[in-house]
Amino acid sequence: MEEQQDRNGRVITITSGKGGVGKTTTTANVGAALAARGKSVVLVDADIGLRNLDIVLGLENRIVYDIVDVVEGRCRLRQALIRDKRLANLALIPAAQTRDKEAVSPEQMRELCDELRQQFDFILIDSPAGIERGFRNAIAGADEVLVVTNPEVSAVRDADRIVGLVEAAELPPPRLIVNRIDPELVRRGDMLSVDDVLEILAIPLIGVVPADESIVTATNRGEPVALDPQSRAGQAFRDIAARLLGEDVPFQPLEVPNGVWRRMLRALGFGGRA
Amino acid sequence: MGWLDTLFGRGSGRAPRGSAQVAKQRLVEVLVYDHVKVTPDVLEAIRSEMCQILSRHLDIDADRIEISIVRGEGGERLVANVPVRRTGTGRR
Repeated sequence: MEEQQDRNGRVITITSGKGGVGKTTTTANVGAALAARGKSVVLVDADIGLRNLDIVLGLENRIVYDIVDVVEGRCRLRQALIRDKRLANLALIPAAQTRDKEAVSPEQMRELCDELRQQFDFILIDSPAGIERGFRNAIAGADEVLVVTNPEVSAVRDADRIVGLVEAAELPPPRLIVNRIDPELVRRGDMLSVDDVLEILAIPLIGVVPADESIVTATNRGEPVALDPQSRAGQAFRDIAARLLGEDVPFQPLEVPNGVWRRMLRALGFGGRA
Repeated sequence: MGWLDTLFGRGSGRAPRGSAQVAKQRLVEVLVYDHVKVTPDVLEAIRSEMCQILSRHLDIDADRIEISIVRGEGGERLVANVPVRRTGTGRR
């Protein structure tokens, strides 16, 4: 990650429109998975005023300078780069906590991305929720956009809005991550399926992340779940990283944990939808 | 097998279809209006004006006209379904 000049890195913005769908978790985990694959990765928290990415990564105690310090020239870029505890080739530029979205302009974001592009293979930008200035900043320097949504009406509606705005910004069509799919609810017909969401949004799919309590426990500890080989959500994030690297990874079947009762009833002929 | 239906939530106390279907339907509708920015009022105005114009030339069944905006390949389309009454004496 040191002075190897111009890596010509890819700037990828993770956004969603709606808040709370898992943008920050996705950014942290896809970044960790890419870094675990040997890529040099920097994560940029563009949610100025609501700093979170450092917490998810467990790096909150190491912050000295932030993104606003960098763009306003109070520190050099390398002073604001926080090296991850576990992965030497993963770094974070934290958001400022005491400023607001107006503290950074789209032009400054573009310049920052260009500078980072020289030093890293991947620059992942964690966008704030909304479609205002913070979102505009987050996509200003982007080459590609990933849209995170949940299988619910409001999240998909907002994702649709974001897809339109990304296309209006003349970026390539964003790719979709459906987060927090609950296979059991989908099976019962009580949750939109990935196919439902894809049919509505009509953009390419890059990831399906199951609702998984290992995300909660990993986030509690400040450890990316993508580094847990046992976690199904972690596997989903590793698959997204592999697809970003151009690999053709099949989508994991969403298994429904099969209860003893259900199996017994099915055996007795009360099968199907029970 | 009533008690089983009750146990597994298939009984009468429940919506006849899964809530995912309801969610999808609501989404499709809301997105159509997000995209086209047409309110139900406007759609109703289109309906009644179309009805007036068509009635000058055809004997239409005004009560059964259906007008809607649907999503399809390549974007939204306004679809009108206008039943025409068969009143002529021509051959069948």
